[in-house]
Amino acid sequence: MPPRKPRVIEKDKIILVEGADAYFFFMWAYQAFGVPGIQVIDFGGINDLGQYLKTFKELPGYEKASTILIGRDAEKTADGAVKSIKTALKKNGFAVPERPFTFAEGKPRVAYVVSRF
Amino acid sequence: MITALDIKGFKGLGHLSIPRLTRINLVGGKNNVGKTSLLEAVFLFFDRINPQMLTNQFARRGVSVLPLEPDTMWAPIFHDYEMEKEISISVTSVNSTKTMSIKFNPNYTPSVVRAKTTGQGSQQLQIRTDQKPTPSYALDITYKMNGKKETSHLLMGIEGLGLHIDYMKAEKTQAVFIASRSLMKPNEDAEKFGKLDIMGKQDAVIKFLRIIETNLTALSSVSMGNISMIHGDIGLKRKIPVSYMGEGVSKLLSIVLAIANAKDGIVLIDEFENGLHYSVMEKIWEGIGRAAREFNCQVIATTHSYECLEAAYKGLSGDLQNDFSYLRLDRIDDETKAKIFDFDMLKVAIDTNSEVR
Repeated sequence: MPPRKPRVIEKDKIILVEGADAYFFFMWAYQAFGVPGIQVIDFGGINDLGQYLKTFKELPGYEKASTILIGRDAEKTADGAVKSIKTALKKNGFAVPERPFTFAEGKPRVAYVVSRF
Repeated sequence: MITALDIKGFKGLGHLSIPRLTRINLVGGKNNVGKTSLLEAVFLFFDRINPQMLTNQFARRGVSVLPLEPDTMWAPIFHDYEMEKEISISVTSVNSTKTMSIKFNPNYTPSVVRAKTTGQGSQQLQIRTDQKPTPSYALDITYKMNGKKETSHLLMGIEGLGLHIDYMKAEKTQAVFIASRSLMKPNEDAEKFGKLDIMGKQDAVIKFLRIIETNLTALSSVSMGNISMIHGDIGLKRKIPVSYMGEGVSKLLSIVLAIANAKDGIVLIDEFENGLHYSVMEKIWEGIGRAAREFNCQVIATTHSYECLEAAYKGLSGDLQNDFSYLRLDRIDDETKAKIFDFDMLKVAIDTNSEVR
């Protein structure tokens, strides 16, 4: 099997998701709604969102990102997932939205959704 | 060991600040971002008492002939070829920062005038009362640390290139540059090998080379006229020069000899992956990591290869992971930014198949 080509950050609107189910859900959703300029990135396998965000903001192309949406599985409890997302965002210097489905202004703007994918 | 670097006005590097360096540093980034210039700046800093400190840089890049003019020989080391700007290279070691600055001086007047003889073989000196120093072009080189200053002047005049030293201490830290172009230096390698052989370290070198040449059982330095070459036993009827075993073995030999002979020093490797098959790189990196620890040597290498990066990440895992950093250079306007990935960050990048070069 040929080696996979490493993924480059190409778009300014990024959806970060954990796992294949969420990845394909968002891929189909943004295509179905015809929203341009969106890139979905699966960071599945990295359980620690904070560690992923620390790396993500150093990746080439990150400076292009104007908007980030984080989609995570609620797992045990939605409250626990929200708390974990907020902690990871704050620790890495991102804007922290008060509630799901709302954007916190910053560079980049950030929102998150918690669901059961 | 260098812990931080700050480079201003050197070649393509308008300004580059690297706040953290570890024992093994791999540098990536797009073409022409300044990866080789970074290595050259570090080498220049340590190559301080060498009249050929700049001409060597051209040779490493494959340029062998240049007119003896400041515009062709010296301007290329200045950012945007602007010789009126100053070059500054600051190197921080554990507790101290030393800064080298280079300034073009079009009217340098030497303080010492050499008496000219009237002819070859003559003992008579032609002495004239009107003899005056002839102004030359110079690069004024200054090192500053803790309020102390050392100066020298790299000269270009009718007598060619030279170095006038006002006051400068020889650098204790040894730096070695392994260029991307394979420039064989058999005498140099044989001499380095001889030193290791005397210290009984031959086996370590053989073990390292066996990563590529598994049949290698022995090495010897053989003198032939003015040339010494390292020969190896790979099970043939006779020993053969290591250079005949392929570019990868030769390169590996140069690397291991450089590390083992640069105790407490620094080894700079340009385009690490050249000549090396991806399948052996993981073991090579592990070998480099262990050798660098044993000889207390620091390594800074450049790469364009994702395979090389992955191999370094895997080879320098476990107890070596805190020794390793990946630096990605990126040019934004006139500034070159270094994004530093520690082992854990690189793990995240590679596990998520993210581009980091």
